[in-house]
Amino acid sequence: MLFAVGALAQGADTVKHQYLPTGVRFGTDLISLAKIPLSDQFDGWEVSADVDLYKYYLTFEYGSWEKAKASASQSYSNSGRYFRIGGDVNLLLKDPDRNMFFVGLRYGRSSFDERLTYNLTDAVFGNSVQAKSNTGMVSGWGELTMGLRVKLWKELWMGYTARLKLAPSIDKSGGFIVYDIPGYGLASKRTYWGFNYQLYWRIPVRD
Amino acid sequence: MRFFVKILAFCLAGFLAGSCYEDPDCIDLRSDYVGFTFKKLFDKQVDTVAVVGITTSGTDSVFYQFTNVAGPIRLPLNVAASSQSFAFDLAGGPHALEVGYEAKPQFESVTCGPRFVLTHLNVPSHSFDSVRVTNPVAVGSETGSNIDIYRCPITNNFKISFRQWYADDNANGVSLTERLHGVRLDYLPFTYYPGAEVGAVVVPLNLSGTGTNILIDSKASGLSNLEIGYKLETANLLAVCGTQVFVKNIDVNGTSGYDFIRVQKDSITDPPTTNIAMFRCPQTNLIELQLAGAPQEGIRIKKVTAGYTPEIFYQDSLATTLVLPLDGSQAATSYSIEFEAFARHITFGYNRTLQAFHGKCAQTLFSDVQVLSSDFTTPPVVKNDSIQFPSVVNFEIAND
Repeated sequence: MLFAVGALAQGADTVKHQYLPTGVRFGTDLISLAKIPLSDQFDGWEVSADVDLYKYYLTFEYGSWEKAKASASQSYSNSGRYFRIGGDVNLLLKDPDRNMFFVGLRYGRSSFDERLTYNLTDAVFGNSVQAKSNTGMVSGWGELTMGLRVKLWKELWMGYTARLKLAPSIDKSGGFIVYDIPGYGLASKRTYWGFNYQLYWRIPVRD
Repeated sequence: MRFFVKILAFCLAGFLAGSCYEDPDCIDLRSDYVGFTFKKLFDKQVDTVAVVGITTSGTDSVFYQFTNVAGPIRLPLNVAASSQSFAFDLAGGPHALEVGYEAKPQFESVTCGPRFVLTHLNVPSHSFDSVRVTNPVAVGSETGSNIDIYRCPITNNFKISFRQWYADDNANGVSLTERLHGVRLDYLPFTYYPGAEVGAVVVPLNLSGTGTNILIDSKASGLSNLEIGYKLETANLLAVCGTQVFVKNIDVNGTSGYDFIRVQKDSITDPPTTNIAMFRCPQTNLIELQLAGAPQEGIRIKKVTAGYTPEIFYQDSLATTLVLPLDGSQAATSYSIEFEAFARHITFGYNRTLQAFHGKCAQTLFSDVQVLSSDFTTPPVVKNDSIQFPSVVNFEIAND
């Protein structure tokens, strides 16, 4: 579809520009890595790759996400994997280093498990300890993205991606209401902001 | 290049600041109650139900004890269970109902504690005539309803209203509050309304026969023995209720302390409407004497007697006013009023006029009432020289 859109948008330029990749960038999310030692509630990583087709970029992201929260009366944890696939459009066409200011779309999908343990305090029916779990949950969502990619040195690139995550599908088959979707965030929010601060290494395949 | 680095740094700082607000606010509202509304099948309107008590599985608590409910009642659901049985002890008899549901906790944050979302409410079993789930999501303790409980029409609730006629042209009069010793039926061993002060009574007619005797014992109106006759008819108006017996062509005979009995509706409705009205004529012979200077608690009276009747009034009582019947058969009435230390005598003269009210009440009206003789030291003061109903002060007397 991106090819078709590009062709329609460029008209006569289609002849001039070739929609062939010049390189593949592999990267990782620095924020996820930084949060591991800084937060006792989060553990995870995210890697990504993109490939250019003139001013369009195909993008794939894959990550792992674990969260744990606890107090004296309850504890929550989840773990799962997710991926996002989509494309970006570079709006800086005349930059000689091919630095990017882009907008894009993503589809995200997550598979995860959740666990919840809590002390139930009930004045009528009495107190008890309850344990619930959500196993094999699946959620999908859409994203609007924008961001920058800047060439720092040789093939080393750095950038950020800001995401407006939208309309998560909530799996209702579990023992409690889904709280946190790996890759998305709080399931109770129909829109959610996300941010990645990324470091890339580009492998050129042609000039 | 420097431009892009600045943008990167700016956006990273913004993200880190924004990330502090991940935890949502606590939601304190609890929605773990099931609401029941009692309704009538015939008109689908809310029913008023006398509840002795309601119990539910998992707790010894008794809810809505000795309460008349005329709207939704809400009972707690156990969020750790998936079904709950309720035992309704109602004035009309005991009933049971089971509610099934899906209770899921919702984690909010470690500081808030979980809230609970209860959905898919359903009724697997019940002993009522009919139930309907109107809202499958549990409600809060203050508002909302989930399940309508219907009952079939009650076809034998017979309503008797007590009415007071006035000396006017209002044929329906006004509601009369009667102080009852009780109401008894010839086919049941119960006494209804013992010691009650009511403007109407509702009692069940005997559907095994075509007549019911009702004995009303009123402190003011005495015994009324009503012979209620009627015809019975069977019909299948509502499928869920099956064939029911209906009462029609009601008539009434017998004796009563009332001046007139009128059949207002000769069939039974649910909710009950007045079937017979029992009227009392206005008492147009009551003269009212105010005791001047009487303390708030009243002046002690040993007794009051009238020359035309052996009846004794106000025996050993405290009074601030005396309301006494005039003799309609003569042009004057004498009273002897015995206070604690002495007695006084007073005679009233008056003009009499005969007048019929409501076609049933032949009344004597008293006018130009005057004091013919009195041994009160202070002469009685005229306040109103005609007799009214309800009574008004006619004279002011002083017990000096």
